[in-house]
Amino acid sequence: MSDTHASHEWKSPEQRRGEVPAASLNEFQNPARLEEPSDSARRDFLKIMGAGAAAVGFAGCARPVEKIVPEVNRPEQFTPGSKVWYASACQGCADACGIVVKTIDARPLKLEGRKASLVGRGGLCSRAQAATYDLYDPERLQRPLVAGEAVSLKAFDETLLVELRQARSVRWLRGAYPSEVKRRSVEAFLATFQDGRETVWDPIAPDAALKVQELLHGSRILPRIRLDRADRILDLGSDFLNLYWGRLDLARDLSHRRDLDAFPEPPRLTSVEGLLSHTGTNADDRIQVRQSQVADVGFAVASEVAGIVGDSDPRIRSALAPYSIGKVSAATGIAPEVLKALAVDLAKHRGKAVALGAPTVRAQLAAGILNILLGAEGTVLDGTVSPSYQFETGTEDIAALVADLDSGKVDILFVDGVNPAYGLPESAGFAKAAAKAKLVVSLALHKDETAELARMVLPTTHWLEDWNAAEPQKGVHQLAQPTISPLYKEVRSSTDSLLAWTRVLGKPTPWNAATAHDAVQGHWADVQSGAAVAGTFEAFWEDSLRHGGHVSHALRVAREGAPAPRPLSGADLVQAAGPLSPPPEGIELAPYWPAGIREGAQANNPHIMELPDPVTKQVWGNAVLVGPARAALLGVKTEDLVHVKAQGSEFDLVALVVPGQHKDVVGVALGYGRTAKLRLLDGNPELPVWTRLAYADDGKGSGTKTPAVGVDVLRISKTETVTPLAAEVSRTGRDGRLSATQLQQDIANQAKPGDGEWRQIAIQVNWEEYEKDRKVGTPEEESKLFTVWGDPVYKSPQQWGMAIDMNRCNGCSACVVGCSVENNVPMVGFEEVRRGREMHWLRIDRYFHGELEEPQVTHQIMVCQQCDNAPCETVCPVLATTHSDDGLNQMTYNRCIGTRYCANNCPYKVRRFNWTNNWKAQGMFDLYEKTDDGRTPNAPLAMAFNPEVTVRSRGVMEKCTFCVQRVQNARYESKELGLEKVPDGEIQTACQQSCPAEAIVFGDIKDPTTKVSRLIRSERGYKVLDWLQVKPNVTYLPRVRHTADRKAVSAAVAAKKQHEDGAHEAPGAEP
Amino acid sequence: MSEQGILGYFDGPKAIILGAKRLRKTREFKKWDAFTPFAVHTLDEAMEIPKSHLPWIVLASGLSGLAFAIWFLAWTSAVNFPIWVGGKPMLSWPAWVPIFFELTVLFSAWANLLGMLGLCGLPFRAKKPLDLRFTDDKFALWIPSDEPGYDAATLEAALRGAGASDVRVVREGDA
Amino acid sequence: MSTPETLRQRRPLVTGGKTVHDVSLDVCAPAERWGSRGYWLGFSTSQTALFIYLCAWLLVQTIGLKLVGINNRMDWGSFIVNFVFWVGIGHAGTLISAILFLFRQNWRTSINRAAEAMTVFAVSCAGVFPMLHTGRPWLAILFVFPYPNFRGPLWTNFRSPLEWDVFAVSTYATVSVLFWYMGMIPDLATLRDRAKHPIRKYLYGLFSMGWRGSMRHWVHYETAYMIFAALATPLVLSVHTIVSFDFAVSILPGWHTTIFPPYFVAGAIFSGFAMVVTLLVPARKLFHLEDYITIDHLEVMNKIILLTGSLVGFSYITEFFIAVYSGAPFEKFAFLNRAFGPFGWAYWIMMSCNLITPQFFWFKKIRRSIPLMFLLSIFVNIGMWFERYVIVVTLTRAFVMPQWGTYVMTFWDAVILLGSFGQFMTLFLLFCRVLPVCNMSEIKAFHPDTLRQIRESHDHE
Repeated sequence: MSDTHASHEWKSPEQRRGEVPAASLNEFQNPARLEEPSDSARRDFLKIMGAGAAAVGFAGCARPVEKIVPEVNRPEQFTPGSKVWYASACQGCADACGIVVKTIDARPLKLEGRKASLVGRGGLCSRAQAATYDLYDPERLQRPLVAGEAVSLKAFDETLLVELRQARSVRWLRGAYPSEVKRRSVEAFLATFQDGRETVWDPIAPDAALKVQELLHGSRILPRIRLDRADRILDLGSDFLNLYWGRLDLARDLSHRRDLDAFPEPPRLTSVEGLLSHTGTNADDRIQVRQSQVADVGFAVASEVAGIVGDSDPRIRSALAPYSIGKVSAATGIAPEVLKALAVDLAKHRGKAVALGAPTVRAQLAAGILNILLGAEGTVLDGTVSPSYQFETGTEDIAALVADLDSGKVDILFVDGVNPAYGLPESAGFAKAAAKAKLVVSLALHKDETAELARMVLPTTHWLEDWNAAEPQKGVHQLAQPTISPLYKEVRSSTDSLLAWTRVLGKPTPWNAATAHDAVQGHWADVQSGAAVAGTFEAFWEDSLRHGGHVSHALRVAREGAPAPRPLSGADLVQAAGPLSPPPEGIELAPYWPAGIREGAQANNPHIMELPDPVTKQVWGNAVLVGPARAALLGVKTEDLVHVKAQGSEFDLVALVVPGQHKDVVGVALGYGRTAKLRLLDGNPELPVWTRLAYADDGKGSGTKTPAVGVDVLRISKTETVTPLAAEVSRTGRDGRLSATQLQQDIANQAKPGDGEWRQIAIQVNWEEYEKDRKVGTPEEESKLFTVWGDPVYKSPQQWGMAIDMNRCNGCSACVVGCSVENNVPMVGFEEVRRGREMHWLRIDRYFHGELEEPQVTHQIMVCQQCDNAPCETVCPVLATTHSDDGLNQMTYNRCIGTRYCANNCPYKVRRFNWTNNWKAQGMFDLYEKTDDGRTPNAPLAMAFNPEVTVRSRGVMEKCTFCVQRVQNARYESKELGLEKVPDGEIQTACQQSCPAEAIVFGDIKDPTTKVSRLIRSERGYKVLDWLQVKPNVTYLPRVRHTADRKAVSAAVAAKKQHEDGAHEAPGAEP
Repeated sequence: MSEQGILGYFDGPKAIILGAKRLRKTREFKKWDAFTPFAVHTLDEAMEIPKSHLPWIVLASGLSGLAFAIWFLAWTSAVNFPIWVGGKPMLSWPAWVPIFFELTVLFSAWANLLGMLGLCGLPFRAKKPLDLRFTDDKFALWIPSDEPGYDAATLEAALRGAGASDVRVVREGDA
Repeated sequence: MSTPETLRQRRPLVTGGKTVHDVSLDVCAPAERWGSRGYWLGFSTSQTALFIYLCAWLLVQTIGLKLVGINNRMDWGSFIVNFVFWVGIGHAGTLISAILFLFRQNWRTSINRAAEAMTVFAVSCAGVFPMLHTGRPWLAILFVFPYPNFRGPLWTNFRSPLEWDVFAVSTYATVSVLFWYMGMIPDLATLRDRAKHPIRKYLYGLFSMGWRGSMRHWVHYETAYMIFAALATPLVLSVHTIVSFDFAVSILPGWHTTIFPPYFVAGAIFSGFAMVVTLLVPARKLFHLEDYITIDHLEVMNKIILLTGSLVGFSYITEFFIAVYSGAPFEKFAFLNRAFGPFGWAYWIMMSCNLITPQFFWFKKIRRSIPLMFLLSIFVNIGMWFERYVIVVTLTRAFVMPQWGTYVMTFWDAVILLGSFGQFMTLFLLFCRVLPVCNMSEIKAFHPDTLRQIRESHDHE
């Protein structure tokens, strides 16, 4: 082991750029010493450095504060405060995107997408952006629990081994992650028992998709989807930007194709859905239908397409037989000509069209059949060369597991990193069944709902502290390395535990490994031989660590080529497709996975809880989403409390009116309403400082507070969690309270078609018009007004500016979290957000165009526009905000007295005021605040601060600075390299870096050759509120919607209108 | 030092104005004065008391205030601490006019009060009131002893002749 | 100095056959007598209010501005409203003593002292808000003043309307105090000479600066008074002009309007006079000054309220018309939203109180009816507070629709608003007890008997 020790410590993009001598990166601790954590000098040194940092900027280290020893000489190979970047792989979900982790003083502070990675490709989702706040979460379990008693790791192992030795039937339940290391470690461990079985389960696993793939192609393998090759995309309620495997790649490819300068014509995305999903907001056309009838529509279109392309396969034809357009449109109320037009359009683009289905078997089947008919197989879909391995098995195994447990024959159940007690619907009856197992062992980060069921709880490391390897797509090997030593002594990664236990039980471990690190290296040796890479293993390993993984050149080439289409299997489809069900009655309740919190694993992470939903902009809880028509029928408006009855159980929840939602569908976000005793859920009495964030007043000023964590719809849901349920919704007449960063006034303002468009702030145009005139819709040049002042002349060689392509942005909000984490932006909680006091520097404004029933949504990223004639600067009495010579509108926090005139005078309203000491309110400064038992619960929190950015205190105005710290760093680096200018692309603002859609471009606008300058010159570019003559430095490119044959659609609207009954009104409209 | 001289009491504004005119006809007075509870208009003309120079003091001070404002704002904003604000030039004087105005007025106002007190020799060269009722409703002409050609007897006669209801000679010691 | 023509009077300014001596007696009485029960009742009430006011500020400053209703959509709220309101109130005094003096409105003499006092106290109330509404008042109090410092060159931004405010309000406060004080010197002398108790004598003596009514002093005094009037007149017009710049110089639709300066000044005079009436009606009863502050005085003030009120109402209509007629969409929206948006109720309160209320003063009966004028003046005060409220809540719906918000005043907003009246009344009642409520020397100078005698002395030869 120790021989490789020297080699595995060289990994950094900076090295690749040849900026940092390899030696200076050498402080990475030796993971081989995981068993004896305390006596590693380098490790202690890391803690000391952390503590040193704590003493300096608010960058504290958890434990070793008492251990500070002055460094007489600078430790060799280490520069305090210097940044070190580690290439790694994200383990937040099964997508396993490539990441780069920025560490300062051995603290991981910022996760960024790894450009070179084939999965993720430089983008990163909001969840991963917030991961450091999970790592430093003060409520992480720090010691193993046996029957509620905290014990040492040693004692835990001893207790467990007694059980293991007697155990006969053992079950291991883990989350989906394409990790060979994990899989084989579990396998080896379970092999030591007579009856050991593994179950892989993930709440959002594309279970139905896997089933359908097996049905159609005979293998449970998900194809890799190349949206950049698709001209026509049919979204059958899939919300693929959220729920599909490799969703960042989908987002990137879609936005890439929407680059109007690179492609002659943008792709046309048609969404068929009942709710207004995140993907639906990005659709060019939307067809509203009950969520339960999405599949029917899919089949109808498929049958039409089959007719056009003349497919001969009998199985498909018989499966589609019941679904003629006529019948389906009669059942759904969609005008037949709309479906016909859609089918014709799709067929016309055969080979360049693809369909994506909702996570139900029928929807997936419809999509699968369409893909076969449209010849997507082998062009857009890659099922052979490098398909997705991200979800190897499906969730119906969990049913089997529950059955086993129920039968009482299971001795020990290990739950590894998943939370079935919350994540499984009540109907699955997991809790009941688990109680029948002799022993439940939970390997968890928090004391979550499952850990509460378990008699033994083993705290696991956060994945940023782990070794791992993943193969998200065939041949794409990602290597995940720890970026910090485990914060706590008494925790251990589940792989390490597995290997340790297996060895103690006297059985062989895979690759004969003692630790995860060995196992990963063993696996990597297989990778090397598999890919037939020449050279020593050390060289290969070192290279892989540097690049965060390995992909053979051959595969890279092959991935770009045309994969072989998969043949149709012999299975019978008729039974799967089923007959056309008669039009359902009444309202249906559609649970859905929201974009930010998803399945709720990060419910203790303020950045996730306060992340506005891309569609509803709601934070800190969920609501009953009602369409305007239904709202009018029910007589409810936003913030009314409604009563929902479904599946025999019922709940009250606040209503939120969403335009463009089907009349008969109400939606409720999943992932909320968790019951674990965590501070952001129902509040942990040990940590009063945080609880206020998640609490809401009763609105009557009585001072009583209730948790604002929403309602858990899974309680009433079926196993296939997003299947719509028949439900009754009624108004209670009482008022509810919800918290949203964007209230409904803008909807109210849209009550009349096109109202508010005159503001010309978020501009969207139709492709048809755009083709004729590239400047259509954008405001015409303002004639230069007379001014008593001349124009400012900035002397600096470089001027910073930004270009934001609204056609690329899909509103996923990764940039919002990225910005907040980078800039130490505080989260303020339910009540404060409700009062309009959220602090996000970067926000995504959601605009509705057109009518309430058929709205078109535009997402507009709004940051400080860094105006040349900044109105905020002029009005500041104390020169706290002034202009730098390179054109940045800079804030001097310690000069600011907080008159807030600047915020009033900012036309873009991007300035944020600290109404109280937000961080203090969250305990971020109470590092050593002791609880009764002498612990310092908040200690780790402050480690999450970015020491490069001032932490603002009470009474100070703050705002986006174009990440001035990054600008300055880049300048210093260029200076050191002897350049007088920062090369284009060297500076990436946090938002730009995290954007999976590459919608944000930052750079020098003085130099006409830079990318940003080219975009600014683009004829469709416009400045928001340019006529004010404040000279903003952010250029927007309008959203261009590919709305072919609107006539048919409007005809459909007309048809639907008369099909429906009841008058439509504007929800909560204000005059 | 306590002053000496002669006080001639008159009852009412009319009496004192006419009295002053009569006395003035008989001879010229350089240092005489009158004590009244309020500014008896036209009495000053009758006594030929010269107009006040105060306006010139105020004007000078006001102008210096303006000059200071112009210099100070220009120096701080353009010379000592030039920094971009709202894209405006460093010498953005139109935005300074309000402050120019305010400082002019401020300087003038102070000069006005202080100048007035100074010209009156108040409070430092203030003298004792010769009769507490002067601030209530009594009127009197006052001819101090250092008036050239001061002679208590003749002046007393002159005052009575001018219509003084009562005459009091103030000597060393009494006040 | 006054010329005989201007001394002709329509109605006697002092009624009830009071002699010049009585003037001293009656005006000095409140300062020499122990306060009545009514006085102590009012005084203790105002002091309680003041105490609560201070506690409220203490709390808001310790916990932070999150206690009040403002938010990131609307960064200014009731504090700025109160500031503008109080500064407006503070206009009547200087106006009465300066402009009316230049216009030879001799009836001003009996009310200008109280009005000036009111000005000084109103400005002191106003001054609290811009300082304490900031996020970090403990720094603001220093940073807003351009003082040399050791952190290298660092000055204030003289381009900022808020910095103009600092100069305008502080200058206005200073000049008002000086003017007020200088006008009091002769009366303080009277109090000194009437005083029996040595301490009283000493204190009044100290502040009267050895005034003894010498004619040579009167000459300088009258000149200085004239100059003060000449200085204060443009100043009083400039102050609210500059306060209005806080809004007019911004780029916000509904704020960025050239009509603001005249409209604010008119409004200020309007509210100022209303406040004078509100105060003097009870005060003249409480201190038995009916013979000096006569019904005629009150009627004249009501006429001015009618005039300025109509001016204000006219500018409301003008700005609305211009906005809607201009064809500037944002401007148009801002004003339509004011009238018919979520805060329309405030707009209509403002309209009815400021436009309709004063119109009642067209009727002589109402102009001369004490209870009615008192009621109407209070309505005017309410209306003028809401005028500023309406202007400030324009913030809730600015350019970018997704950042629209709303504004709900919290309990603490209300406490602080009411508390500021406690501060004002405490100061005013204190003033009534220790300083001459009316300008004695001027009342004497314009006493009917005085005027007659002076006229005769001219007709004599």
